[in-house]
Amino acid sequence: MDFELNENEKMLQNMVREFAQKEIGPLVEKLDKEPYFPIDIIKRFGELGFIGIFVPEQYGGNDMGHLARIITIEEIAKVYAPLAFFFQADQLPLYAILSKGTEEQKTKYLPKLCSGEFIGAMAVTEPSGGSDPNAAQTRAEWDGNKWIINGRKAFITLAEVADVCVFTAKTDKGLTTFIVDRGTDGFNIGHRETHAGLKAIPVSEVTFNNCFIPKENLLGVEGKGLGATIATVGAIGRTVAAAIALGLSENVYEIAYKYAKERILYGKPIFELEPIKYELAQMRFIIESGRLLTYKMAWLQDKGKSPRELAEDIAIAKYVTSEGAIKVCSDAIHLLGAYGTTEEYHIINRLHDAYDLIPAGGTSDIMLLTMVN
Amino acid sequence: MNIIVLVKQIPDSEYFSKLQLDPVKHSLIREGIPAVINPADKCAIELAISLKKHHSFKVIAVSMGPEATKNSLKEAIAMGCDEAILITGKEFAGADTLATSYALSQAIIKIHSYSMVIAGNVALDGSTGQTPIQVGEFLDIPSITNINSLSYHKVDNTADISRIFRGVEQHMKVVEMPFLVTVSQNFNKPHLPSVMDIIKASKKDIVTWGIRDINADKNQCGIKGSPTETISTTIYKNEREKVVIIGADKDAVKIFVDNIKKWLIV
Amino acid sequence: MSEKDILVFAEHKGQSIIDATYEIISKICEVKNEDDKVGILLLGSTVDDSYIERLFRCGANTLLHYNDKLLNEYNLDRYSYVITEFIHHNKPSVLLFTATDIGMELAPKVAARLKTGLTAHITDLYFDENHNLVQQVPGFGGNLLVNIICPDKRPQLITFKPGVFEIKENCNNTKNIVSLSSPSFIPQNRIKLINSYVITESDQNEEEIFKKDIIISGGWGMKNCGDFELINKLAEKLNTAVCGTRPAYDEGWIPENRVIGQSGINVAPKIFISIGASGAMHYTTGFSGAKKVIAINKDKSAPIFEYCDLGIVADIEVFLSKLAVGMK
Repeated sequence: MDFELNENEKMLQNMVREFAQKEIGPLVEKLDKEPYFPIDIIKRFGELGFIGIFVPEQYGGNDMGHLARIITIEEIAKVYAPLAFFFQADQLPLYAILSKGTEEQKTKYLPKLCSGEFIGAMAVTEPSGGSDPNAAQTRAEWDGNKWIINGRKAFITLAEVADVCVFTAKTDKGLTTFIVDRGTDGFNIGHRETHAGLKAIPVSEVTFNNCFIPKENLLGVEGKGLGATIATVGAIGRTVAAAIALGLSENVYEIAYKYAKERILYGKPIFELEPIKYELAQMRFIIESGRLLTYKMAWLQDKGKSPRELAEDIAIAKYVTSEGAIKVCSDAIHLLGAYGTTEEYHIINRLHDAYDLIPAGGTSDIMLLTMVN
Repeated sequence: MNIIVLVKQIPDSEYFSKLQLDPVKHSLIREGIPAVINPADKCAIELAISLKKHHSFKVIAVSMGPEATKNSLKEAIAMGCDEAILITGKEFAGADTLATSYALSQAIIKIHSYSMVIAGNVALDGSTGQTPIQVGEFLDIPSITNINSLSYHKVDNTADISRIFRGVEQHMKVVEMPFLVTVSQNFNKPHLPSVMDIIKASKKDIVTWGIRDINADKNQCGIKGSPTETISTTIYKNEREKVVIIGADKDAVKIFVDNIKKWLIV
Repeated sequence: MSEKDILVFAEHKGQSIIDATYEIISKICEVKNEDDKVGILLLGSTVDDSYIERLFRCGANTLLHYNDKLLNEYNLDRYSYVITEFIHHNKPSVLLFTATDIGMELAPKVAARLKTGLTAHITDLYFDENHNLVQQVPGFGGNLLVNIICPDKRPQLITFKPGVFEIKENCNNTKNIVSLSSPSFIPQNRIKLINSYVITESDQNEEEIFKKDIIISGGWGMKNCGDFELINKLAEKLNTAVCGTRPAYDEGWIPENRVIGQSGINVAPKIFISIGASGAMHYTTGFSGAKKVIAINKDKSAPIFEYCDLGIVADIEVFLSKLAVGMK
């Protein structure tokens, strides 16, 4: 087993690291204080080729694969997790259309999503719940000519800024996926959510009110949407969340480590004190194990394993990294004593981000259920 | 028409303050310190690429170093260089600037046809800034250091160059190719290669040349060809007092003023 | 010249010889053996007598003067040709240059023509028992000190950055001048100088900076504190000079010849005050010779606090305003 990144992956890692430090780093202070959606950075994601990194070249991607995707997201999350969360939503419709789309749909949407010209979202979760996608109440009625959609979706990341949205609705045949373009009559963005974390990325409600969807916007096979949705959420939603949680933990660990080395108590850095070393060691352990699980998960994706085959690996990686991120953040807050939750160190923001990664792509309970089947 | 860019791989300067010496060999421990392209050399690459875009030059990156230097040359290709050549071999190890300049100029002579040589003005590790001028001397081509601007005119194959020299802004015209220029790390903002650039670069091979390939005299290369030698290296320990006060209250002001008075007398 | 002789290239600017040349002469006279002779190589005919006399007061034994008006204007090709011709006929042990715009291109070219060793920006030097100059240079941004020798090749070439060593004028050597006729040289005309214009203050001001007891330097952190206004006011009060980081120059707050650090000047005043600069190593190496350093910055984790004797972590505007009050 070769655990080394290859030459290309290392070059990619260095490039993303430099990008994140030079172009996102200077914005962190402002983004935490007064969060806003930085469209310029999103454009850079597209320009540099991050968004479509796993998409074949013929559709505007780079075909570098899923491990490359994970490394990219991890490096961005190391500097600022909320901006990495962009990929968690944007790459969902990308994957869905890539795996289930017709040639026309792929050529229409994929290149623009890859370049960042289009922003995408995926609307699955409903007010009644997201863990059971099949219990969707949004209906799609066929009137002989077109689909008429009625329903509500909740907690849809990026819907507010999306140019294209993949969504699920129930037809007579069962759960089905569709594509809706921004500005379509009857498709409206509802109120914005006010989560404590990941604030730079807008999350909102979406409503369908007699929304007309043309037949060419049916994605995949009618009634076969559940499998496609679970596959997409697994392959992208959960893997991205794992990579973000990993990068976030590394970010917070670095802050805690630096603090421990500089903070003097009893005449020497607190780093020399056993309990502090122990706390840092626990964080290290979470990060290293999380990294191995996350990279292995992506590596298996690149080996061609389907999301269904990888369901357990993905669930374990997401569970360990996301639950681990909460622990890393709260331990770091303890370590920093009175400075723990101050704005200056940003750890409290990262803790909020970590909590909001738990429901992303499926809660920890769902991960546990998936792991043991 | 070729442009040659000289590239040096150095330890990442972020780690300079963490350098350690091997207690036995007294040499620098480089393990664990990432290696990067010298920042001014990146600006040289960026200038060459912009000339390539406007005037269809072919850009060849040249470096001398151990096998690991290939990573930096790959990066140079990802930034847009068409080819990259690594001069490598045990005969080149331990070279000072004279021996380095000799080897680089031999390689350039082998490339034979080129309009310009562009280099960074100084490498952050050695900080001598001598190599480019010496390469220019060995090649017997005019050299202009620390330029501010360069514009090439395809119509008559000339270049307009400006620089600030001794407080004077000089405007020059190069009327005969080839020539050599150096740029500082503030000359321009090197662009980040995209994922696509990285993938394309991975498919290109780095050419390696040994001492025979460049017809170099082994007595002028490496340690043998280096008139200067290092006899000892020590880590610089700064002895600053590092007394830090937090806050802008009137105590801070008093300490500030008292110290100025005290230190002025000494 | 004999094989133990020391040659110093004098850099002139119009009628004067720059201070850095006298610094070199002073330092080499300090470290040389008693019977080593110091020769000064001067190209051009514009230099005033008073500057020539000062050479001997600093310890020069002979002035080797190419009193040729064709050499009045510095030209890299012409100067390096004349110097190497001189070296071929006289074989000094050591040849010293200033690490100025001129020295930094002239010295390497001469070293390559002579196929000899060159060491740049030394911080100290001494002769060993074999009359090799042991040259101390900072490396890796000043984090390493390296001792270098050039054991076999001659002359040993060295450049000195201005402001590192002191000028000492306490010799009363006789004024011994040798006039030389320059070799004929046909310049290549591959580069034409079209025009040039002066953009910085006169050279008198340029060298004043090295004489100040206190120097204040500002960095990019002044951007949100009213640029350099507060710094200029403080400088006025303390009767000192204002320098800065390269970003400060980019912002237009200081002229180029006041940039401190690797790509600028080195200063060694009694007190160096750095305000609003984070302390990147290419900046701090520019004032490592200062006797005492005070740093003011609002970020307590800024690296500058590792390079100061007194550090103040505070909002810069607040501190400087309080300071203005406190210093009345």
